[in-house]
Amino acid sequence: MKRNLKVIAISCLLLFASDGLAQQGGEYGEEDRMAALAALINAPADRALPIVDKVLAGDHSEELKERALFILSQLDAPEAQSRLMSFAREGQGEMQLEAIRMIGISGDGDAIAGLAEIYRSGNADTREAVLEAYLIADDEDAVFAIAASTDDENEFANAVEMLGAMGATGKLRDLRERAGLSESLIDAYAISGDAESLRQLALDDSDPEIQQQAIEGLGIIGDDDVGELLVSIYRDSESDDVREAVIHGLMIADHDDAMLELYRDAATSAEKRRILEMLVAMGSDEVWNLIDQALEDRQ
Amino acid sequence: MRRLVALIALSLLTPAQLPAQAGEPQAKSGWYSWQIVGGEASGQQLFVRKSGGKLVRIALSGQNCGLVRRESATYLGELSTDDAVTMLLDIVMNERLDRELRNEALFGLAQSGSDRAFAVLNHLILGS
Repeated sequence: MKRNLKVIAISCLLLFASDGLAQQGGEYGEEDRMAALAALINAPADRALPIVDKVLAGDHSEELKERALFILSQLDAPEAQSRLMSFAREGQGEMQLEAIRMIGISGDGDAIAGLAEIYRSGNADTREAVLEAYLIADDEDAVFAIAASTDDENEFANAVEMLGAMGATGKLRDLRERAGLSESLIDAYAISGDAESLRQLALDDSDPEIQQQAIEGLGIIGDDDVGELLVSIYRDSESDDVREAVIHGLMIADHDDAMLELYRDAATSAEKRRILEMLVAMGSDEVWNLIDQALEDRQ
Repeated sequence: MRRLVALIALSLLTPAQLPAQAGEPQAKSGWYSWQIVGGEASGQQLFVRKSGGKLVRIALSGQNCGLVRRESATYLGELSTDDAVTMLLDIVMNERLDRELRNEALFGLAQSGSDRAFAVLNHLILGS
């Protein structure tokens, strides 16, 4: 895994490392330094570390120092990881946040485990960076532990959103059993692509707000099956709010065929007008045929 | 003999912008390789690729996995670490060459582990 990441990293660095090694008046420019520093990813750790240390300790640009942190994350040596951890614990501002994210990129298990303490003692920016590091490292357990142990609504929402981005469907379902449903959890179901959980919620009319949010979440997932399901919910529901949520869901999913089906079934002109508005907003080609037909019917 | 190999190697690299010379060993794939013997990079292989008479790629073995199938490269013999580093430095410092190629040469320098290569990298990065 780490080797694959390194190959990808080298390829990216080769493509984007620099604008070249233009020597201007005997001085090397920032881009030249960036390219040469990037090359250290390929170097023996004991040769690269002294140079990386000097970059991090010296009066260099933040961009060069951030590249140095990336090189640290890719060097296969415990000293490199320990330096990265020092920056993550004691660094200032963006450098600290970058070091935290780089620990995620490093994939080093011990260093990633050390992020939990940094999260506990950190401010909002630090905590966000730790969550990003967990996302990069694909550490669902660590994010789940944060979501499951907090009483803070914002912190829960941030962690749950990250689980959604990680596609951690199982963990999100576990959280529902522990903490109950919440808006952030339903959003995360949509982000993670958990159509089954959303389908159950969308068919349950015991809590209209949750039902409507789940319907719109299905629109975000937007699978082919979603159109059919939403049309059936629309037909079975007598709630204007639920029907409006279905129309929104279909628009988000860009299912104009399903929307056309609803248009043809619409019983009132107000309902037809509302669906037509949505079809126009979707830029559906079929909408011009409908408008022509409506004009002909009037004549 | 080693010196001859180095001369052939340099003949491939030096006229990087020129058409291939008569008498130069031709590789169907365009790839050529040398075995590095002696010095910090000993045991590695240096690969270069020429296309249309120009040098277009350079890599040390292990670098850029999958870049070249070793059996498809024409083997040109042994080369010292020092000669390999000289070639890489020539490319790095040649402003007329493609930037990506020069970046590849930088990666080769770093991979070589050579003192001379690291003195240059140190200078490029830190200016000292």
